[in-house]
Amino acid sequence: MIQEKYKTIIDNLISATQSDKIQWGKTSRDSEYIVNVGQGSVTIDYSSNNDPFSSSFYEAVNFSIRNDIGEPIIRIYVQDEDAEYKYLKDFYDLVNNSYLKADKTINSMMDFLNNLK
Amino acid sequence: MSKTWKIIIFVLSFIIVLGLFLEISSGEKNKTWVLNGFTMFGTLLSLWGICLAYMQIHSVKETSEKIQSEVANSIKEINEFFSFSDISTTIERIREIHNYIIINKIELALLRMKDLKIQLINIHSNSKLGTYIDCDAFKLLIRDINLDISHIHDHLLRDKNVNLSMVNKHLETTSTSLEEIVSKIKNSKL
Repeated sequence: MIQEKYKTIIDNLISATQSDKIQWGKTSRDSEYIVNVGQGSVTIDYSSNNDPFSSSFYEAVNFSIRNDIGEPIIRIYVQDEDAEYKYLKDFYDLVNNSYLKADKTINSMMDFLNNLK
Repeated sequence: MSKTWKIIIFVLSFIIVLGLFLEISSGEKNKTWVLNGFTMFGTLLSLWGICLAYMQIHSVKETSEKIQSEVANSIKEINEFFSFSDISTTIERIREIHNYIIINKIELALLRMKDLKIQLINIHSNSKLGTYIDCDAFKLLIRDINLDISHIHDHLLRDKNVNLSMVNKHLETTSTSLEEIVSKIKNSKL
Protein backbone atom coordinates (compact mmCIF):
# COMPACT_ATOMS: atom_id res chain seq x y z
CA MET A 1 0.00 0.00 0.00
CA ILE A 2 1.52 3.32 -1.06
CA GLN A 3 1.33 5.96 1.65
CA GLU A 4 -0.74 9.04 0.84
CA LYS A 5 2.24 11.48 0.92
CA TYR A 6 4.20 9.37 -1.58
CA LYS A 7 1.10 9.06 -3.75
CA THR A 8 0.92 12.88 -3.77
CA ILE A 9 4.56 13.05 -4.89
CA ILE A 10 3.90 10.51 -7.65
CA ASP A 11 0.74 12.36 -8.79
CA ASN A 12 2.71 15.61 -8.97
CA LEU A 13 5.48 13.87 -10.92
CA ILE A 14 2.88 12.47 -13.33
CA SER A 15 1.40 15.90 -14.03
CA ALA A 16 4.89 17.50 -14.31
CA THR A 17 5.92 14.78 -16.78
CA GLN A 18 2.72 15.16 -18.79
CA SER A 19 3.26 18.91 -19.08
CA ASP A 20 7.00 18.49 -19.88
CA LYS A 21 8.01 20.50 -16.81
CA ILE A 22 10.60 17.89 -15.81
CA GLN A 23 13.17 16.08 -17.93
CA TRP A 24 13.84 12.44 -17.14
CA GLY A 25 17.26 10.93 -17.80
CA LYS A 26 18.64 7.40 -17.93
CA THR A 27 20.82 5.68 -15.38
CA SER A 28 23.31 2.90 -16.06
CA ARG A 29 20.44 0.40 -15.88
CA ASP A 30 18.78 0.43 -19.29
CA SER A 31 15.25 0.25 -17.91
CA GLU A 32 15.67 2.85 -15.17
CA TYR A 33 14.90 6.58 -15.38
CA ILE A 34 15.93 9.38 -13.05
CA VAL A 35 14.88 12.96 -12.43
CA ASN A 36 16.13 15.61 -10.00
CA VAL A 37 13.49 16.90 -7.62
CA GLY A 38 14.61 19.62 -5.20
CA GLN A 39 17.50 18.41 -3.06
CA GLY A 40 17.03 14.79 -4.07
CA SER A 41 16.09 12.65 -7.01
CA VAL A 42 13.55 10.03 -7.99
CA THR A 43 14.16 6.83 -9.95
CA ILE A 44 11.69 4.46 -11.56
CA ASP A 45 12.57 1.06 -12.94
CA TYR A 46 10.66 -1.74 -14.62
CA SER A 47 11.81 -5.33 -14.50
CA SER A 48 10.55 -8.73 -15.50
CA ASN A 49 12.04 -12.17 -15.81
CA ASN A 50 12.93 -13.04 -19.35
CA ASP A 51 10.54 -15.87 -20.09
CA PRO A 52 6.88 -14.77 -20.34
CA PHE A 53 5.78 -18.41 -20.65
CA SER A 54 7.49 -19.46 -17.44
CA SER A 55 5.33 -20.21 -14.39
CA SER A 56 7.51 -17.85 -12.38
CA PHE A 57 7.03 -14.98 -14.80
CA TYR A 58 6.63 -11.64 -13.06
CA GLU A 59 6.70 -7.96 -13.85
CA ALA A 60 7.62 -5.33 -11.29
CA VAL A 61 8.07 -1.59 -10.95
CA ASN A 62 10.54 -0.15 -8.50
CA PHE A 63 10.05 3.50 -7.50
CA SER A 64 12.68 5.13 -5.27
CA ILE A 65 13.10 8.52 -3.67
CA ARG A 66 16.80 9.28 -3.18
CA ASN A 67 18.78 11.84 -1.22
CA ASP A 68 21.25 14.35 -2.70
CA ILE A 69 23.98 11.70 -3.21
CA GLY A 70 21.68 9.04 -4.62
CA GLU A 71 21.13 6.90 -1.53
CA PRO A 72 17.58 5.51 -1.47
CA ILE A 73 15.36 6.96 1.26
CA ILE A 74 12.07 5.40 0.18
CA ARG A 75 11.66 2.36 -2.02
CA ILE A 76 8.29 1.26 -3.37
CA TYR A 77 8.40 -2.10 -5.09
CA VAL A 78 5.24 -3.48 -6.66
CA GLN A 79 4.73 -6.71 -8.60
CA ASP A 80 2.02 -7.43 -11.17
CA GLU A 81 -0.13 -9.10 -8.54
CA ASP A 82 -0.17 -5.97 -6.33
CA ALA A 83 -3.08 -3.51 -6.39
CA GLU A 84 -0.87 -0.48 -7.17
CA TYR A 85 1.01 -2.19 -9.98
CA LYS A 86 -1.10 -0.71 -12.78
CA TYR A 87 -0.82 2.79 -11.31
CA LEU A 88 3.00 2.64 -11.19
CA LYS A 89 3.32 0.78 -14.51
CA ASP A 90 1.26 3.53 -16.21
CA PHE A 91 3.56 6.08 -14.61
CA TYR A 92 6.61 4.14 -15.85
CA ASP A 93 5.17 4.01 -19.39
CA LEU A 94 4.53 7.76 -19.25
CA VAL A 95 8.14 8.38 -18.17
CA ASN A 96 9.41 6.03 -20.88
CA ASN A 97 7.37 7.89 -23.53
CA SER A 98 8.49 11.23 -22.18
CA TYR A 99 12.19 10.20 -22.32
CA LEU A 100 11.90 8.70 -25.80
CA LYS A 101 9.66 11.60 -26.92
CA ALA A 102 7.51 8.84 -28.43
CA ASP A 103 4.20 10.74 -28.62
CA LYS A 104 5.85 13.90 -29.97
CA THR A 105 7.72 11.96 -32.63
CA ILE A 106 4.65 10.02 -33.77
CA ASN A 107 2.48 13.17 -33.80
CA SER A 108 5.06 15.09 -35.84
CA MET A 109 5.29 12.15 -38.27
CA MET A 110 1.51 12.10 -38.66
CA ASP A 111 1.43 15.86 -39.21
CA PHE A 112 4.18 15.57 -41.80
CA LEU A 113 2.41 12.71 -43.61
CA ASN A 114 -0.93 14.54 -43.49
CA ASN A 115 0.69 17.61 -45.04
CA LEU A 116 1.93 15.46 -47.92
CA LYS A 117 -1.64 14.57 -48.92
CA MET B 1 60.97 49.80 20.59
CA SER B 2 64.42 49.94 18.97
CA LYS B 3 67.68 49.56 20.90
CA THR B 4 68.75 53.19 20.12
CA TRP B 5 65.51 54.56 21.60
CA LYS B 6 65.97 52.46 24.72
CA ILE B 7 69.51 53.87 25.18
CA ILE B 8 68.32 57.47 24.55
CA ILE B 9 65.47 57.12 27.10
CA PHE B 10 67.81 55.49 29.63
CA VAL B 11 70.43 58.26 29.25
CA LEU B 12 67.74 61.00 29.46
CA SER B 13 66.15 59.49 32.57
CA PHE B 14 69.65 59.08 34.09
CA ILE B 15 70.41 62.75 33.41
CA ILE B 16 67.03 63.82 34.92
CA VAL B 17 67.63 61.72 38.06
CA LEU B 18 71.22 63.00 38.26
CA GLY B 19 69.93 66.58 37.97
CA LEU B 20 67.33 65.95 40.68
CA PHE B 21 69.99 64.37 42.86
CA LEU B 22 72.38 67.30 42.46
CA GLU B 23 69.54 69.73 43.16
CA ILE B 24 68.49 67.90 46.35
CA SER B 25 72.02 67.15 47.58
CA SER B 26 73.36 70.72 47.03
CA GLY B 27 71.47 72.02 50.12
CA GLU B 28 72.33 69.02 52.34
CA LYS B 29 74.98 69.59 55.01
CA ASN B 30 75.10 66.12 56.50
CA LYS B 31 75.78 62.87 54.68
CA THR B 32 72.11 61.94 53.95
CA TRP B 33 72.76 62.87 50.29
CA VAL B 34 74.60 59.54 49.89
CA LEU B 35 71.49 57.63 51.02
CA ASN B 36 69.28 59.84 48.85
CA GLY B 37 71.57 59.11 45.90
CA PHE B 38 71.37 55.35 46.44
CA THR B 39 67.57 55.54 46.81
CA MET B 40 67.09 57.66 43.66
CA PHE B 41 69.42 55.67 41.41
CA GLY B 42 68.16 52.41 42.94
CA THR B 43 64.55 53.42 42.14
CA LEU B 44 65.59 54.44 38.59
CA LEU B 45 67.34 51.10 37.99
CA SER B 46 64.38 49.17 39.49
CA LEU B 47 61.95 50.99 37.18
CA TRP B 48 64.22 50.25 34.27
CA GLY B 49 64.41 46.61 35.28
CA ILE B 50 60.59 46.38 35.35
CA CYS B 51 60.38 48.12 31.94
CA LEU B 52 62.98 45.80 30.42
CA ALA B 53 61.21 42.73 31.85
CA TYR B 54 57.89 43.96 30.41
CA MET B 55 59.48 44.61 27.01
CA GLN B 56 61.10 41.18 27.10
CA ILE B 57 57.75 39.47 27.86
CA HIS B 58 56.10 41.51 25.11
CA SER B 59 58.81 40.51 22.65
CA VAL B 60 58.46 36.80 23.60
CA LYS B 61 54.67 37.10 23.10
CA GLU B 62 55.18 38.68 19.66
CA THR B 63 57.65 35.95 18.67
CA SER B 64 55.25 33.26 19.87
CA GLU B 65 52.37 34.81 17.84
CA LYS B 66 54.63 34.99 14.79
CA ILE B 67 55.57 31.32 15.20
CA GLN B 68 51.90 30.34 15.63
CA SER B 69 50.98 32.21 12.46
CA GLU B 70 53.84 30.54 10.55
CA VAL B 71 52.76 27.10 11.82
CA ALA B 72 49.14 27.80 10.78
CA ASN B 73 50.33 28.84 7.32
CA SER B 74 52.43 25.69 7.01
CA ILE B 75 49.47 23.50 8.05
CA LYS B 76 47.28 25.31 5.51
CA GLU B 77 49.84 24.70 2.77
CA ILE B 78 50.19 21.03 3.76
CA ASN B 79 46.38 20.62 3.74
CA GLU B 80 46.18 22.24 0.32
CA PHE B 81 48.91 19.94 -0.89
CA PHE B 82 47.03 16.89 0.43
CA SER B 83 43.74 18.09 -1.10
CA PHE B 84 45.55 18.49 -4.39
CA SER B 85 47.12 15.05 -4.09
CA ASP B 86 43.68 13.57 -3.12
CA ILE B 87 42.23 14.78 -6.42
CA SER B 88 45.16 13.40 -8.41
CA THR B 89 44.79 10.01 -6.66
CA THR B 90 41.05 10.05 -7.46
CA ILE B 91 41.75 10.72 -11.15
CA GLU B 92 44.21 7.81 -11.13
CA ARG B 93 41.54 5.62 -9.50
CA ILE B 94 39.07 6.46 -12.28
CA ARG B 95 41.66 5.41 -14.90
CA GLU B 96 42.13 2.16 -12.96
CA ILE B 97 38.34 1.50 -12.96
CA HIS B 98 38.20 2.23 -16.72
CA ASN B 99 40.89 -0.38 -17.26
CA TYR B 100 39.08 -2.97 -15.12
CA ILE B 101 35.89 -2.41 -17.10
CA ILE B 102 37.77 -2.72 -20.41
CA ILE B 103 39.27 -6.09 -19.40
CA ASN B 104 35.87 -7.13 -17.95
CA LYS B 105 37.04 -7.41 -14.33
CA ILE B 106 33.76 -6.05 -13.01
CA GLU B 107 34.25 -7.27 -9.42
CA LEU B 108 37.51 -5.32 -9.13
CA ALA B 109 35.90 -2.31 -10.80
CA LEU B 110 33.12 -2.44 -8.19
CA LEU B 111 35.63 -2.51 -5.31
CA ARG B 112 37.50 0.48 -6.74
CA MET B 113 34.24 2.33 -7.40
CA LYS B 114 33.33 2.02 -3.71
CA ASP B 115 36.70 3.61 -2.87
CA LEU B 116 36.06 6.25 -5.51
CA LYS B 117 32.72 7.13 -3.91
CA ILE B 118 34.40 7.67 -0.53
CA GLN B 119 37.14 9.80 -2.14
CA LEU B 120 34.55 11.92 -3.94
CA ILE B 121 32.60 12.46 -0.70
CA ASN B 122 35.86 13.48 1.03
CA ILE B 123 36.71 15.95 -1.74
CA HIS B 124 33.18 17.34 -1.62
CA SER B 125 33.31 17.88 2.14
CA ASN B 126 36.84 19.36 2.11
CA SER B 127 36.35 23.01 3.06
CA LYS B 128 39.71 23.96 1.47
CA LEU B 129 38.36 22.90 -1.93
CA GLY B 130 34.99 24.60 -1.45
CA THR B 131 35.92 27.59 -3.61
CA TYR B 132 36.94 25.39 -6.53
CA ILE B 133 33.91 23.04 -6.51
CA ASP B 134 30.40 23.55 -7.84
CA CYS B 135 28.69 21.73 -4.95
CA ASP B 136 25.41 20.88 -6.73
CA ALA B 137 27.13 19.55 -9.84
CA PHE B 138 29.57 17.56 -7.70
CA LYS B 139 26.71 15.97 -5.75
CA LEU B 140 25.21 14.80 -9.05
CA LEU B 141 28.53 13.10 -9.90
CA ILE B 142 28.49 11.31 -6.53
CA ARG B 143 24.84 10.37 -7.11
CA ASP B 144 25.59 8.85 -10.53
CA ILE B 145 28.59 6.89 -9.21
CA ASN B 146 26.47 5.71 -6.27
CA LEU B 147 23.73 4.45 -8.62
CA ASP B 148 26.34 2.79 -10.86
CA ILE B 149 27.73 0.94 -7.80
CA SER B 150 24.25 -0.28 -6.92
CA HIS B 151 23.58 -1.39 -10.53
CA ILE B 152 26.92 -3.22 -10.86
CA HIS B 153 26.20 -4.88 -7.51
CA ASP B 154 22.79 -6.06 -8.75
CA HIS B 155 24.41 -7.20 -11.98
CA LEU B 156 26.91 -9.37 -10.11
CA LEU B 157 24.51 -10.76 -7.53
CA ARG B 158 21.16 -10.91 -9.31
CA ASP B 159 22.25 -10.91 -12.94
CA LYS B 160 20.43 -7.63 -13.64
CA ASN B 161 21.51 -5.62 -16.65
CA VAL B 162 23.99 -2.76 -16.35
CA ASN B 163 24.97 -0.39 -19.12
CA LEU B 164 28.76 -0.24 -18.81
CA SER B 165 28.98 2.46 -21.49
CA MET B 166 26.87 4.67 -19.23
CA VAL B 167 29.13 3.80 -16.26
CA ASN B 168 32.15 4.79 -18.39
CA LYS B 169 30.39 8.02 -19.35
CA HIS B 170 29.79 8.87 -15.67
CA LEU B 171 33.43 8.07 -14.85
CA GLU B 172 34.60 10.26 -17.72
CA THR B 173 32.39 13.16 -16.56
CA THR B 174 33.73 12.77 -13.01
CA SER B 175 37.31 12.69 -14.28
CA THR B 176 36.75 15.83 -16.37
CA SER B 177 35.26 17.69 -13.38
CA LEU B 178 38.24 16.70 -11.22
CA GLU B 179 40.69 17.82 -13.93
CA GLU B 180 38.84 21.16 -14.01
CA ILE B 181 39.25 21.52 -10.23
CA VAL B 182 43.00 20.75 -10.52
CA SER B 183 43.30 23.32 -13.28
CA LYS B 184 41.45 25.95 -11.19
CA ILE B 185 43.76 25.29 -8.21
CA LYS B 186 46.86 25.53 -10.41
CA ASN B 187 45.71 28.79 -11.98
CA SER B 188 44.80 30.32 -8.63
CA LYS B 189 48.37 29.63 -7.39
CA LEU B 190 49.95 31.49 -10.30
